[in-house]
Amino acid sequence: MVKKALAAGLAVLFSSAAWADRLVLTDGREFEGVVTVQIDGSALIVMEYGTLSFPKHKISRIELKDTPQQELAKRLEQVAADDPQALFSVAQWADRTGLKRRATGICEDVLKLDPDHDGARAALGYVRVDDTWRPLNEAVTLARSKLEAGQYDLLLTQILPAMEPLARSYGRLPETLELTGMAQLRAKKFTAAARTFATLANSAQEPSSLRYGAITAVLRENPDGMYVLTEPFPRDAGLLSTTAPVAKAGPASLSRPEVLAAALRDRAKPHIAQGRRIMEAAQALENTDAKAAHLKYQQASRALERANAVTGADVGGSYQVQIVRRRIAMVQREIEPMAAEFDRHYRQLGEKPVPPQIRLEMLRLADSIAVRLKEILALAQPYRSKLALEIMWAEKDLRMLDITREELKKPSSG
Amino acid sequence: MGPAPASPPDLQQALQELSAGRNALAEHLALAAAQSVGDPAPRAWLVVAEARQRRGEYAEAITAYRKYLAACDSADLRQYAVERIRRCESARHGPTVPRVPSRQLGKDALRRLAHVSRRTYMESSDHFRVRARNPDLAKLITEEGEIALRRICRELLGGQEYPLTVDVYVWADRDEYAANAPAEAPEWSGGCSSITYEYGLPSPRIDLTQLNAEDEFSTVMLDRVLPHELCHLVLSQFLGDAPCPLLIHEGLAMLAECGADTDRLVLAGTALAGKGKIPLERLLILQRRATKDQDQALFYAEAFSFLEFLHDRMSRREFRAFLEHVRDGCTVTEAIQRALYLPQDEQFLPALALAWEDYALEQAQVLRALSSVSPPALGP
Repeated sequence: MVKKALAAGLAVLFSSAAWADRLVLTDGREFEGVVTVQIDGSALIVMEYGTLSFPKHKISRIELKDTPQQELAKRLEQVAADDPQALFSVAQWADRTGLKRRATGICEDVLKLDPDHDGARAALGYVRVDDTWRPLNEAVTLARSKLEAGQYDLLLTQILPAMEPLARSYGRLPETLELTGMAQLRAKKFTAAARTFATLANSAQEPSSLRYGAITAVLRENPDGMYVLTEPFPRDAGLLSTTAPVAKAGPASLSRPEVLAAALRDRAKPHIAQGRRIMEAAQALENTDAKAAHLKYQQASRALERANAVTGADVGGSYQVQIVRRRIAMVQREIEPMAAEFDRHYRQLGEKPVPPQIRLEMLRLADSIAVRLKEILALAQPYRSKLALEIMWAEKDLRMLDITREELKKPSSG
Repeated sequence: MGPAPASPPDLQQALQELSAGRNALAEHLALAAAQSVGDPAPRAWLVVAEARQRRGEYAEAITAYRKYLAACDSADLRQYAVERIRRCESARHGPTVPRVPSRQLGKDALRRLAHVSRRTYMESSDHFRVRARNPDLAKLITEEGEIALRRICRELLGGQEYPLTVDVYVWADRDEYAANAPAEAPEWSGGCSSITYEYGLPSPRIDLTQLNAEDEFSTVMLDRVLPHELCHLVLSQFLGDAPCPLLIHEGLAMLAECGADTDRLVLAGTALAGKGKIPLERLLILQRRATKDQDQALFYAEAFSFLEFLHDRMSRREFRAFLEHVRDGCTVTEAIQRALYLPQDEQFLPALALAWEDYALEQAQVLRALSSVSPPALGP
């Protein structure tokens, strides 16, 4: 009985017909796919477009082909076990065929023979930094350290170019590109840095793309790499006597991280101003058009998020908390009349028999209030520490409502 | 051999030297870049100017800023250069000694100002209607009121307008003041400000006392009480009906007074170094009614010291933004963080308290060393 593992590389089978079995019927028809012969002699064939089963008497013959694993075994037999390059070729074949795990194992064998085999190292996710092979994660960390150590040339000519293809296949290209951009910036290669950050701005998602876009704009507006600070940066340094590096007011090089941070802070200011303006407009609408006010507040919050994205810091956070507080207050104002109505009915419970329609009305009110309380919780959730009281009150009210609702559903209540 | 061609690398080198404090070298490199025959870099004039300014060569710095302005195509940088020129001009003329009005008066003038007539004289100006029992005093208060108002609006509130007219009543002595000043004026005060509303329109008023306990003209009234009370009125108009911590109201009013009150700064520094201090987190929320009598002096001293610290460490624009955020309902710490575009940080208040205490202590030590006075006693 011939059994083939269906699970092993169906995708490979379909992408490469070379390993398909052939089933020939007595009427001459032929099918290609993965054949499984059953105990009763019938055959099951899994093909790209579906699965068919044929009884034994309809089958003329079955031509079984090698599975990828069998093919791999043959290839491995054909190469010298002590020839790293030949083994690596088989590993590449295995990788292309979809036998990733086997490919990894063969690459590991290659490294036992030749620990500096570039191809095998790269295939296993290693990059050479400081004459030592390191996993990509470690290499990224080391590259960051080298950036802080000022080894820009080494980064730009050796380490980062070596990391780039690896980062691309591991989905970490943006991180590597950002390191490249930062190294270019600090090495005062402003035009190249602008290009790198523009690439990042076009390829990254928000909020990162906003920050990269802002850096690109700063560099394009100041192609000589000079930025004029209108005030020292960071601003809390003067106030709190911190030990962070301070950029004095005046012209300074964008190659200094604190100068770039100051430039980005300046670019975030209009977003904050815009957020504040929209907040004021929303506030004016609160009592006349609550829906429009909510929308305006959302719009303001987005402007503030842009400020946060550009600076990479929570500079708009306190405004966003203020927005949420105001929106919660609006929702609470919506709840007030419903709660008053609910309380009015509630006071009657126990005093006299409550008609079923009143009980239904109370349930309806409770549901409406609960929806709004959940809205408050959803609004406050991202700012748990700042809005702990709002969350606590809403949760407490929801619990009370749940209890009351259960009571109302009992036929004896009232 | 001619000069090296000016190119961005030269400008970057100049910026590096400037950042390292080697201002002469920075100026030399930037000048070469700015004056390069083939490819002049006009922005390099900003480096030249900055290097000269940092070396105290203000006139030369102004020349460099003007050279830059001639080629400037950025509105922001034009504003920056104009502001720097203003600072250089101001630095050229040396530090401004704060003007104290009573020091402009000779003995004769002081004697004349102590005269109390039976008649009430009235003087008026754009913002004041002054009633006093001395014609010279009425005129003097009107003039000094306008000067103080300009200073408060410009320096403390960063360009605030004051569209109202203040009625100023100068009463002869404490008895007359106590009998005529609005009821809410504290007994111990030598002056007070109040706002009444007629037909919905605000009517600001200041009550002052002409003579001190020795029946001499009260210079304290002129130098301190008048600007202090005026500041309360301007701040109230700025804030509208927004609640404002007492600390801000009183601290700013004391900042408005002419001539720094060194006793207050010494008292604050001494208290903050010891156990008798009012901690910042309490100072920020303290209300007048909650202030015990023995804490009054300390509260005023610390409020003055804290506001003076903020005013010293923040730019005029930032200080104005800080007050706007307070007006919008922010707490003091939140308002500072917003004004400085700082991210929210739970540790900001303790760090701020520490920095202020260090500042106050250092200031008190310097003042004590300068005046060789013993520290004033804390409380009764």
